[in-house]
Amino acid sequence: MKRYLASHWLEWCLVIAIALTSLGVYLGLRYSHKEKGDIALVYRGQEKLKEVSLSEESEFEIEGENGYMTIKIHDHGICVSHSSCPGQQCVHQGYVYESGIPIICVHNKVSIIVDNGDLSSIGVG
Amino acid sequence: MKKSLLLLFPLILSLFSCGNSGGGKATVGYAFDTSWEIRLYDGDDAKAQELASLIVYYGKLFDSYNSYKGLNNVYDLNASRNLELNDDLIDALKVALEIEEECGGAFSLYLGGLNSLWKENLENGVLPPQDDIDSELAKAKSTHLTIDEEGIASLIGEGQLDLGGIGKGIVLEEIKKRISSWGLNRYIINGGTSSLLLGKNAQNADFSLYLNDYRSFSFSSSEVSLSCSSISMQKYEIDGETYSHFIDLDDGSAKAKATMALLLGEDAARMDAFTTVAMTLEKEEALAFLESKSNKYAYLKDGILITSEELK
Repeated sequence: MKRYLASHWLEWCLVIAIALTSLGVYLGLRYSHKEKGDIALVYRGQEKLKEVSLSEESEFEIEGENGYMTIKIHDHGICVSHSSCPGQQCVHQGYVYESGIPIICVHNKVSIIVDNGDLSSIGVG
Repeated sequence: MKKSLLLLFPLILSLFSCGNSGGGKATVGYAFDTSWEIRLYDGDDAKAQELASLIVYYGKLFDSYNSYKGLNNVYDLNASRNLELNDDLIDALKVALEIEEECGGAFSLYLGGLNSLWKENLENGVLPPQDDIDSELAKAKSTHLTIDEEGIASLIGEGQLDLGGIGKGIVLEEIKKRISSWGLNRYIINGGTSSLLLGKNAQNADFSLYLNDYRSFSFSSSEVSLSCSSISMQKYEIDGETYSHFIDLDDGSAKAKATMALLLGEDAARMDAFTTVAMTLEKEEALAFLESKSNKYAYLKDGILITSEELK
């Protein structure tokens, strides 16, 4: 065994180096995208109105089924800052930062979903 | 050595495939006045789109406010009282009738008129006149549905059929059949955070969940149907009282009796109906009812959360 290792040590170093590099690339891809690649999808009924990055601060208006809504992106989160709906539940919901918690405006049939590619935790109710 | 190098390739490939499956792209559909998020970790886009289309189709079928060309739905049945329906709606109505019977009078399929009465008034910040409540409740209680062998459904009485308390669960059961036939194991179908169908997660493990109404409580689960009835998204304060969309069949009142009821179990349609019923009962009755339906439940009232041992 010792003789085998002594004669093949260079090859084994190569194997370990490749394995470590692969692991590094994998971890890099997996965890860097969570911060930089988060997006939000804005739908009116079945129609996708917008796909926006949560890494850029912005504010924009969309036309819902029964009126207009203003959507704001700040600090990697998204919220409805103004809505024409009577209940205003979508406005009161505030900022959403993660997958699994949609913002829904029934009056305007608008739904906003954060998609960070990872459902680490899901809110129910 | 060549063998050891060869062994490296599966390792590298498996690492990258894990990274991709963790993504689980969301496919979104809108039906039943809410958004649906579909993630098939071991399925493809075409299958996710098929499920989104199925949800939209059932949304139209169960719609009690709109008619759709070429599709007889709940709205059309309410209008005509006697109508030939397609097999999908007939099957769904049969399931709904079964569940209504299982609830022993605590769940009604005919609350459409009373629901509309409360909704219209609450949205304008007022309570409906008691006479109108009594009248609509009497209509609901005196109505029943019959289905003959040729697929003709008849509404006997003046009540309006409304599948609101059960519709999403029935759709999830249909989705479960499709997913099972495709042999998929890792998925989540999230109907507006209140009705969920869970397989295993992207990493083939349990999902981690928490209650929106009580964020400090979290639990893990998989391969289960989950229903959560809550007043949070549809509550109205009038004269110091809280009202919601859950109606007490004893007096027709929509006064909120609890904040949330949650059940985990096998049958999504039943879980949906049972949590709706629990929201209309007094606390002790509601807890006994939930416990009789599943060993995994949670109930929130006045800021106090009660959960079954199995959910803890």
